[in-house]
Amino acid sequence: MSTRRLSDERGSVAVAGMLLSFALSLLIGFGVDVAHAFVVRAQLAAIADDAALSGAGALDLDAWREGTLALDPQAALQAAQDELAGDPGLASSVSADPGAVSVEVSERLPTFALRLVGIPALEVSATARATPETP
Amino acid sequence: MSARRARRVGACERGEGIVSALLLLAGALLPLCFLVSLLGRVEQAQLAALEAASSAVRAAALAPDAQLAQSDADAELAAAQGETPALLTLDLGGSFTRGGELEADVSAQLPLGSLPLLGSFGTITLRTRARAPVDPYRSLPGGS
Repeated sequence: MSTRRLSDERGSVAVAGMLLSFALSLLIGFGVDVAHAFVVRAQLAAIADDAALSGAGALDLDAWREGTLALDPQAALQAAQDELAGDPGLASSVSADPGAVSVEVSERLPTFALRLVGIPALEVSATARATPETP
Repeated sequence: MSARRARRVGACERGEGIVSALLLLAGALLPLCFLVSLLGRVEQAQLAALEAASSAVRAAALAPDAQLAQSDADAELAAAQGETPALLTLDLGGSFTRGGELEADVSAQLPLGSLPLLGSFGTITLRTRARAPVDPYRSLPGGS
């Protein structure tokens, strides 16, 4: 009886096909997760650029009157943070000095297929740095 | 089992593998291939729309006046349109004043799929948004 069962190959193609389909689905899922992370990273880069440019508009007018182009670090920090406030839910850090304002934004993305291999979320981040320049 | 009966059973199973493989191909692999292609196009359209929104709003913020802001943004959109099969449309808003902020909403209409002789069917609309500040110390016509 058992010898007959083992030698019976009916359905073997279907089983192999199912396994192949599952593996393909998993690979597609990995691709979707990674591609989504790229899209989110591009969105974060746009947000960081916007915040950094907003901060870079906060010039130190006293320094300007003395002939130096520099940022007011406090005002630059505030301007960048105000801009980032329009996107709640993002983790962000802003730093500013007289020479530049730097912004980093990050988001934790829950994964769809990568969680099956022990990666429940991807950390995606983008940075931007803006400096004041004369036209 | 006699040799004659064994030959008969073997004859009955001929082609079963091909039938199973065809069923699998039609039921699982072809839909998967379609899905992969669709997901790739969706992600590509999303990235193109995002790139278009970012570059359009930045070009608008740097333009000499409000009218040129719109045309510069449209030019950036046209450049981005060449990189995606999705139909991109731009809505530029915000305030073109010193210290103001411009906002570009770009929507991408992507056909779900297309068949020979029948054309495309179904669309997905993706929306992206980007903002850019107008320099507070720049010169503008009318001094606004």
